[in-house]
Amino acid sequence: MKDDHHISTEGFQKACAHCDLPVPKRLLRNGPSFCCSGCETVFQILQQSGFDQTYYRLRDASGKRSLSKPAVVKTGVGVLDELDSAGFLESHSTRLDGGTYRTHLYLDGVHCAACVWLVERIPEEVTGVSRANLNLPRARLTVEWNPELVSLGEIASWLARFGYPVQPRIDGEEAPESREERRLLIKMGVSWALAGNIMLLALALYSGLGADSPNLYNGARSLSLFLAIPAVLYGGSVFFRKAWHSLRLSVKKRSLEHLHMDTPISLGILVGFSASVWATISGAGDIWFDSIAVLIAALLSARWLQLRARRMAGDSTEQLLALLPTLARLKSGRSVRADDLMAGDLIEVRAGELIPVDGTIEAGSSLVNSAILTGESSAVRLNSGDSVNAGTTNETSSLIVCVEASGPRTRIGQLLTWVSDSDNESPRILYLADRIGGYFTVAVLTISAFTAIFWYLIAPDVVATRIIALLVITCPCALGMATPLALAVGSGRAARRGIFVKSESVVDWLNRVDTVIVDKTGTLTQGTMAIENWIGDASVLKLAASIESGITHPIARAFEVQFDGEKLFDPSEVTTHPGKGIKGVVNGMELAVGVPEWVMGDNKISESYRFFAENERNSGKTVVAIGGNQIQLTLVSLSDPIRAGAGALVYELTQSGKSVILCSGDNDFTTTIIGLRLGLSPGNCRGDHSPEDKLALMHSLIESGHIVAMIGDGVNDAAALRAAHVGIAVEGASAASRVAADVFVTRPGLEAVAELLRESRIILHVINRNLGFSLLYNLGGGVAAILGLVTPIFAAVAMPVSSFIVILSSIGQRTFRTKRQTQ
Amino acid sequence: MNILYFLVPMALLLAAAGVAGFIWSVRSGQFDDVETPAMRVLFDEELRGEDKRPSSSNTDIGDSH
Repeated sequence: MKDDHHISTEGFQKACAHCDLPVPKRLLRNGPSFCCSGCETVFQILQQSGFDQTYYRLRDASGKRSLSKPAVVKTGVGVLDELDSAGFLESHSTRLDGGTYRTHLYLDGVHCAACVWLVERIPEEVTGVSRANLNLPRARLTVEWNPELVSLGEIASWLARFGYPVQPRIDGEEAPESREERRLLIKMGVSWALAGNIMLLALALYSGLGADSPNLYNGARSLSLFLAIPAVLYGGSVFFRKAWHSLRLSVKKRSLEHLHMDTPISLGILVGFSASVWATISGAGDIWFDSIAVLIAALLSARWLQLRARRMAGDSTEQLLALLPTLARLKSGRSVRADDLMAGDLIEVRAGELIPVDGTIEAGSSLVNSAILTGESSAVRLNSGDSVNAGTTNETSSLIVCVEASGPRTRIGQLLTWVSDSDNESPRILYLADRIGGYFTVAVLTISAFTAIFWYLIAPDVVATRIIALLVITCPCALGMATPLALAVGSGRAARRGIFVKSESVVDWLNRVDTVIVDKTGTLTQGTMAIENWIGDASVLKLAASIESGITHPIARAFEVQFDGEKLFDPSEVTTHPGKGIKGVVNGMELAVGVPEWVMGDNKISESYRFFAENERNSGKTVVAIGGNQIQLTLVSLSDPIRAGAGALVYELTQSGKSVILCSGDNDFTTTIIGLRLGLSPGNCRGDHSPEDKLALMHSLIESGHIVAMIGDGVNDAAALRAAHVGIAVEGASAASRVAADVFVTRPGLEAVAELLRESRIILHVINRNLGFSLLYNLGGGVAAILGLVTPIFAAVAMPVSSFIVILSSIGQRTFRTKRQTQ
Repeated sequence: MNILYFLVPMALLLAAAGVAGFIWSVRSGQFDDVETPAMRVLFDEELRGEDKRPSSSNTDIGDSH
C-alpha cells in the first residue's frame, strides 16, 4: 500500500489525518494535519456528526482501494435544481408503492468500506429516505425516497457535506450496459446448466447405457437433442450473429481479414449439431451434443468476463455523459433542449449551472470552472466577449451566452461522438485472434476438402463421419478464449492497480509502439506553478499573495497555494495589466507584481538581483518581481515542478528503444529545459504546439508508419490522445481526456504508466502462449481426425481440456502484481 | 432400469428450478455488484434501521487496534 505513493512523499513528513496523502510542510501542525482544506472540512463534519470513529475504523480495516481524497468537484447548484425538478422525478426515477421513488445517482469520491457505511446511513440520518444502496466499484447509489418528506436535493446536499458530489444518471432506472451484461450472464448460466445435463446423459451413454435396451438408448439420445436445441439456438446465437455479420462484411469487402473468429466456431457448432440431430433421428451414428454444449458455455463465459472487464473502464465515459446538461434556458426564460439551440441564440446560465453550449459571453461576468476540460479545479474569471465551453460550470453569477455550437457540435460533444463512433466500428481495433479468423477458416475448409478426397479414395462410406469429426474437433474454442481471457484477467488486475484499460487493442499496440509523444504541462509536470525561490524580503511575499488573491492567473495560484489557509490582507484598487502584471494597494502600501522590467521601470537593480534573475531564468523558471515605494524589491522564481517518476518513465522508454517526443503548448525554451532535465535531446522537445499542431504531429508520425502512443492530460491533448494508437491519460487528467484516451490512470505519479508498458509486454506474452497452444491443439486434433481417431468421447475430453489449459494459463499470468519485487 | 424414466425427468426438473433461481437472482441485480456486499459485513456496530441511537458508541475505540 505505502508503495503506491512513496515517491511523492519526498519533502513531506506526515500523512493527512483524513486521506493519508502526504501533508505539505506549510500545513503541518500539532495534532491532526491535513493535505488540503477539503480533507479538513470532511474530517470536522465527520467529527461533529459523531461518525468519525466508525468511519476511520472501517477505513483502516478494509484495506483501501485507492487514496481517499474527497472529490474536488463540488455538487453544483444546477445539479441540485435538476434533482428537485418535476421532470427529473418523472423521467429518471421509478415510482414505487407507498409514494416512494427510486433513482440512481453517481457518487464521486467513494472508495472504501467506510464510504459505503457512511453513504448507506442516509436512511437513518435523513427522514424520508427508505433505502440507500451503494455499488462501490461503479460508484452508483440507488436511493429510495419519499419526495413529500424530503427532496432529492437535500439528500444530495447531505452527501456533499462529506465530500461526495452527486451526479444524476441520464439513463434512469436500468442502465443499458448492465442489461447487456445480465443478459449474457443468464445466457452463460443457462448454457452451463444445459451442458451439464447433456454431459450427464453423455456419460451414461459412453459407459454403456442402453446397450441392451434400444428404448433407453434412443430415449437418452432424444433427451440430449431436446436439451441441445436451446443450448445451440439460445446460447449459440451470439456466435451465429457475429459470424453472419463478418461473413457479409468479408464478402462485401472481398477480404479474409474481416472474417471473425466466430465464423469457424459457428461452422463447427452447426455441422456438429446437424450431424447429431440426423444421427438421433435416424437412430444411428455419433452424437456430439455434449462437446458442442460445453464449447458454447465455455465461450460464453469468456465473453462475459471480457464484457465485465471492459465495463470497469467504460463506466467513466457514461459518467461524463451524465455531467452534460440536456436543458438550456433561453433569455426569455423558456426551457429548450440544448441540442435544438441554433448559433446566435441567447441563453441564460445562472450561477451554479453547467454551461450547455459552446459560445461567447454576451453579458455578465462570473467565475467559470473548466475542470471537465482541463482538470484544473479552480475557477477562472470570465467577462463578456470571452468564450465558454459546454460542460464547464458557471459558479458565481448569471451569464448571458451567445450560442456558437450546441449538442454534438460542441467541443465536448464532438469528443463524445468520437468515442461512441469508435465503439461501433473502429478500424484501429483489430483483435489478435480475429486477425487469424479468416485464415483459420480457410485452413480448416482446405483440410476438410483434402480429408474428403483422401477418405473417398480409401473408404467412401466414412467420409461424412471424418469430416464432421474434423470440423468439431478443430472448432477453435481455446483459440477463441485465448485472447479475451488473457486480456480480461490482465485488465482486471490493472484496474485494481489504478490503471483502467478501455480498449482491448491497447496491449497489442503498446507492444509495437516505437514513438511516444508526451505532453509537458500537467503530465510530466504537475501542471501548477509553485514558488521555488526568492530574493528580498519574505514579508513582501504575503503582500503579493494578498493582491493576487482572487486572480486566476497560474502565477497568482502559486501565491495562493503558498499562503493557503493564512489570513491575508484585503487589497484595494487592484488593476490588472495583461501580459505585464498587477497593481494595487495592500495594507496601505502601493504594490506592483509582475514582469521584472515592467515593475522596475527605469530603476537600476543591484548585481545580486540580476544574477538571481538570470540564473533562475536559465534553469527554465519564471521570474516575477514585487516592487513599490514603501517596500523592498523582491524577486520570486516560480516553476512547474516535475512529477514523481517522470525521469524514470522517460529513461525506461528511451532504454527500450522508443523515441520520446516532448510536446507542449509552452514556449520552446521552457520545454527544452524540462526535456533536457529529463534526459531528452533538444531535437525531441517541441514547444509552442497548439492542440492542432499536436494532432498534426501525431498524424504525420502515423502516416510515416510509426506506431505512436500519446501520454497527456488536458482537453488540449484530447484530439491527439484519440488519434494515437494508444492514448494514455495520466492521473489528475480532465474528464474529457479520460474519455478520449484508451487507458486512464487514477494513481498518482507516472510510475503507473511505466508499469502499464512493462506489464502489457507480459500480457502479450500470455496471449501468444495461449494462441500457440490453441493452434497446436487444433493442429493435433485435425491430424487425429484425419486419421479417424476422433470419436465423440475423444472430443468430449480433448476440447474442455484444451480450454481449461488456456484458462489456467490466463489466470496464472504474472501481471500487475500488488507487491512488486523490483528494487 | 425403468426407474430412469422417472428419475431423469425429476433431475431435469430440479435443474430447471436451479436455473430459474439463477435467472431470478441475475435479474434482481445480485450479480451487478459482488464487491460492496463483502464490505457490509464490517458494519457490525448497529443493525440498519433498527434504532436511531447516536452512532458514537465508545466500544469501538478498543476494537480499532
